[in-house]
Amino acid sequence: MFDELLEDDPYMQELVNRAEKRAAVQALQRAVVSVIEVRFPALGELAQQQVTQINSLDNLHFLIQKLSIAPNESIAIWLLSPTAA
Amino acid sequence: MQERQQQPYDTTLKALLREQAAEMIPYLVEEAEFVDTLDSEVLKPQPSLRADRAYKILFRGEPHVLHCELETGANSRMAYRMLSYHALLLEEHRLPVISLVIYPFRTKLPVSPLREMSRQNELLVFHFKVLALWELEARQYLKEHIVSMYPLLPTMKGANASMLLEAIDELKQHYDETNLGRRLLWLRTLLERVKTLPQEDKGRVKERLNMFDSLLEDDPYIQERENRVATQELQKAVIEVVQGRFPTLGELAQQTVRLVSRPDALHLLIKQISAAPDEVFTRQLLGTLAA
Repeated sequence: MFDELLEDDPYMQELVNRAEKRAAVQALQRAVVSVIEVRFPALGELAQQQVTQINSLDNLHFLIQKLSIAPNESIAIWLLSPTAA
Repeated sequence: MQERQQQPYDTTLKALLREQAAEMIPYLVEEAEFVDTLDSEVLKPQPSLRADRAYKILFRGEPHVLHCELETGANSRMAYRMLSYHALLLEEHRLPVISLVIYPFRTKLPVSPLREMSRQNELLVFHFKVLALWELEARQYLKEHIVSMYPLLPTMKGANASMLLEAIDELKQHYDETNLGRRLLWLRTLLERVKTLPQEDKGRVKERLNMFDSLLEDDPYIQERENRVATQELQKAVIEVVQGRFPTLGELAQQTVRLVSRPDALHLLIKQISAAPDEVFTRQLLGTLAA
């Protein structure tokens, strides 16, 4: 019964939603950087800079998919550019 | 590798009740002193019952078990449920059990004792305690500085914005940031639900509570939820990397990645699969997750 009391609280729900969104975005941003650092080490710093601008989960998932199969650095740089994702 | 799912809010509430128990119990049951927290997983019968909290206490100097349930609404079967817990705790601990139901919001209360009758014969008489928080005087707790009970103040008789603001100030002085956050979370939750406080009073108190938002975001429960959602997104990311690089292993990835439930382990997996030289290596890597 303790559980339901807090779970049903609108403020708590808002707080949780906000925290969950932030955590999901941060986890995926880090995943993008991980893929880049392994596949294209020279682009690690660029990835770290660019990825903080992307807050959409769909766009981050799209980036992970495409970066994992990007054939070369040029394509990876293009994918990381603000207009691509 | 799969980790046991925790009950939602457990971290916050268990911690709150555990920490507060020693201070609160004397105010919940007169002449009682806290001794220890008991395991509240009552294993029998199936499906298992889970009591809100159970404590080892001294009542008038004698060892007892105190079982506390918090109920937010009327339940015609409550007395029977309490009897089930009572019997199980009695069997387990072989100590007299004091059963207490706490009601924070005005509702129909169960009547004690519960009598089991066979025609004119009493087969069983079960006495339990009922504590209606709305019958307690908020001012009294504030006057006596019983800080452990402050999170419950919004539910009490006579509570108003001034009192709650005073209580928040006192809580702030009394607790460190982590413990303060949990108590304010409870105070806010109860404040939101009570119907006895005018909206204007609620608004004033919530405005003050908003100043502590950052504390609440650090609460273990919130962190657990963050962790859970990060895990889900990273599991998807692992599958995406596998499907991108080695499409035939997509299904294997979907089956095995669910077994990894730590964000750090998933980040490592993303790196390993991104660097994997071929399909054979990746298949082996995914295979180790299921092992």
